[in-house]
Amino acid sequence: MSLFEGYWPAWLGAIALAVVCLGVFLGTGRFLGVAGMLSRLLRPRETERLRALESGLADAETLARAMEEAARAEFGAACDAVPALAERSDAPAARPLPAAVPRPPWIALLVFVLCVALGGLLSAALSGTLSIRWDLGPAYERLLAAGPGAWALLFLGGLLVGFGTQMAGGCTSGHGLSGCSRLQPASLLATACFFGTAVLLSLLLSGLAA
Amino acid sequence: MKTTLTLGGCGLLLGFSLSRTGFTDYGELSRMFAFADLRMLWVFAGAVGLCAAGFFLVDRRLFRPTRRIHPGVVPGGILFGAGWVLCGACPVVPLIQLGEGKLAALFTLLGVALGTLLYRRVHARLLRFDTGACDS
Amino acid sequence: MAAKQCPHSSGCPLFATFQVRSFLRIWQMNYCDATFERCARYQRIIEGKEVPLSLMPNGKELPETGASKKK
Repeated sequence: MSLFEGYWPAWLGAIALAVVCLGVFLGTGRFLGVAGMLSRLLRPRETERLRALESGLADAETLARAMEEAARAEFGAACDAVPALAERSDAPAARPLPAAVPRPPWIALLVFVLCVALGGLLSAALSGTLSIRWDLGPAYERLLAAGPGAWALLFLGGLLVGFGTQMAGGCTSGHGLSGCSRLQPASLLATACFFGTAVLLSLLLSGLAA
Repeated sequence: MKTTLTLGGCGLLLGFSLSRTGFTDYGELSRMFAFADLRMLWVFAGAVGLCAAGFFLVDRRLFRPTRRIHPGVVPGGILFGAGWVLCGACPVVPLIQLGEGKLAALFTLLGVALGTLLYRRVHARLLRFDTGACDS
Repeated sequence: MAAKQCPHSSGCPLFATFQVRSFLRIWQMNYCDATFERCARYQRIIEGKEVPLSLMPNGKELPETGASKKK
């Protein structure tokens, strides 16, 4: 088996993808999810605005204090009328808040996307398959279309992929890898749906092409 | 900085390994969907299994169900699956294909970008269903 | 009469914070346990937008307080 020629055996691919998924989580505190990252990448101003709003609120004490000030401003004297709750000994400062993980800066998302493309470039270069081409190979031509017709289908397919992944709330990395491995209900269902649909449609196309 | 380096390194590995595994090759992909060649299915299943083990070792609370099923999950999944067969790509793939020199992926990428942006409008104005989470 | 509860309570980071300070439960009394549709966070989710941690139910953004520096 060669690392750079032919396709990898299943065990190697599985290990590599798992390293990516776990690596992202351990290194950023967030789960790998390309659909979500693309969505944020396409909205640079909003992404940075949200990041700026959240900076400084990463620890529970600061958040609680800020909320108290806001409560005074909003409700005034009514705050004092709230029935007292015995202050708990397990104070919030000891535990990090759920959403306290800082959002990645927009530039990090751009770096991710560029590195993904670079990974493809390296792979093709090292395996001797790097070449500029405007088609997707014989299988695509046989099952779907060639030339400009193929480009139109690629665009349409891309549209469905972009739209569908946003609607479902994730893609093969977000739902498929990060979600299913943690047994998340939405991810298991979403993965079954997109895989199932892909298999059925594939079957249909093979039947039509035969 | 740590985030940027992590995403850079993992992005590189992701692009490289999806390319070396065959997820950017329509022929390999259609073989997977036809169950004619189970290799790529095993890649996916294996990765999910390894991630499960990894997440379990890190923190069992990661398995708490936070991603709940909402009205967009099933129709969105169906649309995505259909699109996947039509363009041979899940969202990350056209980026890798471009790196490999398959410039036709520009059309795919354009579609993905527009579809992503379009959905936001459609959800805000028409669909307006509850996705159930502040931190999706 | 059953009280209406915001369906996001279990996932909302602000709701979690309300639980540990009695003072803050005034937010919960006015929004989460009552007319949660008025909550700006809930509205954002229905619109499909991202919700920053700093957004309070009344639509105002929390300013930074104390000596916290940008991480």
